[in-house]
Amino acid sequence: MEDLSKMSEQEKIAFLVKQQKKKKRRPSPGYLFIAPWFISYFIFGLFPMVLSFIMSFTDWPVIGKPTFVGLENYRDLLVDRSFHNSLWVTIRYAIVAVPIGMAASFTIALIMASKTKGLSVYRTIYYLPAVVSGVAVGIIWRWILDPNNGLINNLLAIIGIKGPGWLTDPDWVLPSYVLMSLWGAGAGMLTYLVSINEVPLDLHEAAEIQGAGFFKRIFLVVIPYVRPILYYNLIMGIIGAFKKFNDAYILGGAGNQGQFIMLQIYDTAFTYFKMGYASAMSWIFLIIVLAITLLVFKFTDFWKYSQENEE
Amino acid sequence: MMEYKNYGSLTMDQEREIIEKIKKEKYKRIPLHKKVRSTIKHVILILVAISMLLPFFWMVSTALKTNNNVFSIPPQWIPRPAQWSNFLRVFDSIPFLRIIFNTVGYAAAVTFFEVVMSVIVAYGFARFRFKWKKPLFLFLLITIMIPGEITIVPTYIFWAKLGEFFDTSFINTYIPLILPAIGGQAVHIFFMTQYFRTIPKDFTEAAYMNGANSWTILWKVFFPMSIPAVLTITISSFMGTWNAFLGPLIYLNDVEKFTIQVGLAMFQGMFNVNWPLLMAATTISVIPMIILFFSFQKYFIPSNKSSGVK
Amino acid sequence: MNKKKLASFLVFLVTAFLLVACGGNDSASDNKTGGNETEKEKVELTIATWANEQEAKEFDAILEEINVSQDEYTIKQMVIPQDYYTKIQTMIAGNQAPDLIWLAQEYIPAYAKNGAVLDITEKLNSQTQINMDDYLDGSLNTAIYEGKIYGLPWIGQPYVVYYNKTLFAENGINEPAEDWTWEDFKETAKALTKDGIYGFATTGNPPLAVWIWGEGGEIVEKDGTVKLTTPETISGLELAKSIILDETMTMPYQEALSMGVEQAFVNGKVAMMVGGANDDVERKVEEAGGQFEVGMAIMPRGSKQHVTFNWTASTLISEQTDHPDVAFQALLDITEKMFDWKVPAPVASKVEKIGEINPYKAYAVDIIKKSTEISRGFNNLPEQNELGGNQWELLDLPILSNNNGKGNVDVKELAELTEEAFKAIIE
Repeated sequence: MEDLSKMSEQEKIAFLVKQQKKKKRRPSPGYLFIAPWFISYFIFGLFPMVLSFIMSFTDWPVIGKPTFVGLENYRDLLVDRSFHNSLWVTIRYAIVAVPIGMAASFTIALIMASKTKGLSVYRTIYYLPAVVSGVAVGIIWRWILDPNNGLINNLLAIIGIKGPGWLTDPDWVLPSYVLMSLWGAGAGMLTYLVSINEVPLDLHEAAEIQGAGFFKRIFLVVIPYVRPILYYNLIMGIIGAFKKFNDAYILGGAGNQGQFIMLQIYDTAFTYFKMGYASAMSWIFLIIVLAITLLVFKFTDFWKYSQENEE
Repeated sequence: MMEYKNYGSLTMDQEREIIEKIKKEKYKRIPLHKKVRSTIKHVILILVAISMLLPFFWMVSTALKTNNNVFSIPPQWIPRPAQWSNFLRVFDSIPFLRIIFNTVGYAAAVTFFEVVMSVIVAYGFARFRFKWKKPLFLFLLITIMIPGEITIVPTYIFWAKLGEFFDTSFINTYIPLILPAIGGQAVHIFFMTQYFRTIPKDFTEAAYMNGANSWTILWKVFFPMSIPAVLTITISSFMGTWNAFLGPLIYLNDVEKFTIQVGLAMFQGMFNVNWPLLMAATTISVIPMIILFFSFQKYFIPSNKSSGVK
Repeated sequence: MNKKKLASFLVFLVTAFLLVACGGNDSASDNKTGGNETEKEKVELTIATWANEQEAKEFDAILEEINVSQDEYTIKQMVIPQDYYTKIQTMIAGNQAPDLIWLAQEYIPAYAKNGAVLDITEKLNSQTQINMDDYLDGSLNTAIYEGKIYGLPWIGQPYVVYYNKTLFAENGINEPAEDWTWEDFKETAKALTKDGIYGFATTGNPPLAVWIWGEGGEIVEKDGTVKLTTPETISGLELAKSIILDETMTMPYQEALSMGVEQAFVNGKVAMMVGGANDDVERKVEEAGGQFEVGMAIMPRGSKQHVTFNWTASTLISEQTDHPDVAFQALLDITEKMFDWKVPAPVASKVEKIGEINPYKAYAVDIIKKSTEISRGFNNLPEQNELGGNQWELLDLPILSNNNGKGNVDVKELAELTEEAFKAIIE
């Protein structure tokens, strides 16, 4: 490597131009940076992915021999009412839970980014629900949402309201799950928080001088600045909502309203011995989520945003 | 920390002075308004905090009950007598120390690879323009969308066959759980890419002028600027591994090799759940993560170039 | 420089990979050599169980006893605490199946049909260690698929009625007789329902099948014929409905669900409940302070048949085992030992010893014995899980929950819907 500091200004420019030209001939170093993930995925992840695709054209009870059935699984899915029901349950949940969850996480993050006393304690407490997982969460919620002796309905009874049946009432299953997802809003809070914290001071001050109030500043300064993180949360929120599994696996829900698509796939594969059919479900599922993601890309400036920062 | 680049004009300083003056004036005039707002804010914060804490309280309180007063009606908030011995019984019932030790090692290894490699890969996606970038990034996202439940069996077959090929067995080892992490993790890559995209190019120009290459810039400029974001994926990666269930359950056969979530499941037989022990073990299992988060959380404050939303 | 760094990084990755991989290899080969040195000719076998922390220890002790008592094989337990079948099926798909597997009755036909487990009919005929005539038919039938025996049941737990003896005495109500009918049951439950206490509560125990069988009906035949809409089945369902949805004798489903039937019984809120004969009811009542005495009665008689449900599970041999003969020997040894475990053994000769094995049950040996004689399992088909899932959603749950509290339960209509779904599954 040549020592730039010892060169004259002209030499420097000439050298940089030369380098620039060199760069054009060589493939972008970007490939080298992204290579590790792709290599490891091609070694460890591609085979399972391809196999699950092949599986979707078979009738395979997992514990026996697969038989090739062509497109039959996909054709069956078109008329499978319980599959449609679980798709509908999942989509409805995503439509409600994603925006509410994003708004909640973002609001908490805004508060956590402000100058408020005792924030370090609040931050930890708000993040707490994210650290418990698995069966404990399900059990805790079963107790909170119990229609007769649950926490919420007991509290409502104190102020004279008869609480709903929550998970035991088909109409209240969806709200129950949205409520549960809100409890975990603290996990999403962190991703917003780190980027809100990076919003340059000048931007705020410039806006303040021009008389922008609190909300105006959020919309004019903060949101545009953290846009990439918003997209991250939007897309991950959609994927997460569609892949809802854990608490639904433990809690279920009355009238098939807790039968999320992942639950359906899991049961079909491992309880009903129809791995091929479950694979077909997974690929339909994948296409739906992918289509929604592409729509997000199309109607936002997801790709454009940072192009000026690229080399 | 990189200092935020001042655009180098004197008017900037002057502007700052004016702003300071305006601020002081404003706050002198309406302190009451501010107080009321702050009180309301705190009331809301505390109420939400309580709702976040209640389930925890119930978890700990169940951990101190006997099997019989778990579901007593009305619910006992403070169990009498408190069965502190439940916490000790957890260690008697299963090799819990060993299991914690396993999980710490497993989580540390996975977190290390995922964080370091995700930062590198994300840097590649965020800072460079290259052919096929969009499809490649889309592919990364697709791998996040694939239902994990459907790849359990193919992945298991892959590891079983790979073991046969190398004349050994990867089943009942941590290899199938750790090795796939060495290239980074798609969700973290996605997050870091988006985070890096918020960093303006100005920061790197100076470094480029001094002849630094992209690798140096990543570690000397981008990495230090992104400590909070890196800690975010560190926490999330550690937690994800700590709480992983299906993978360890499928690949690990010996109780001595179990991770914490699989160990917890042992208190929950197919027909009989030992609630107090399950909750005691769960309580113990979340403590490390609370400590981890609390020790990191001081980094989640406005950086020196900004002061947050007021 | 760029390249150098990346190159060094790649070297680092490869080394890390090798280190991790070798670490794994070492431990794997260690196990093998270690095992070989200490027990030279012994075959190593594995048995998969769904035991929880306590049962796992007890079962380990049983296996240890077996391991020291012979020198043909050593067997060790693989505990799968949750998602048992997910792991077993994944292991079978990966050709890594454990040699011996526990299966609940619903799973056996599917495993047998797909050839995942060994047909042991021949082997059983040429052994004398376990007396096959001693097996209770209600249990052994669940391990038979298309005339072949695939496994040995190790538990046969008939469902019985637990009742609150003290409460019966306080109300001056006669204790259940051995030949009591569902009509007697209804009367008793009604008489016991007062002051916030209910005579009966259920969230799915007993299965609806018990009422159906009692009236001479059937859900499906072994050959796959669906019998859900026959007059006998419908009258069984009507009987079930008349008990479950009558709030003058049965606790509303919601309440029973949130309290837990067993808990409600232990707390004295419910006077009668149905449970497995070996459930820890007596111990729980004692631990809760022993407020009352527990009684056990036989399942009430239906108008056509006196029958109760039998919860059974068996041990089977995986088709993938390398040592089918040794595995069969191990199956015999383990099953024999398990007959003396805490579970009620599915053999006639052990029923009387239930009091010795579990002292809490000593008072009810007679009842348990009679119950085992009238107990049976489902007519399981390879599609049993899917059928069961559908039946629960379309038939059981609407009846139990009174159409989610909306009322208007039309048993016939539900049965027709369920039959339609069943036929679509069996095709």
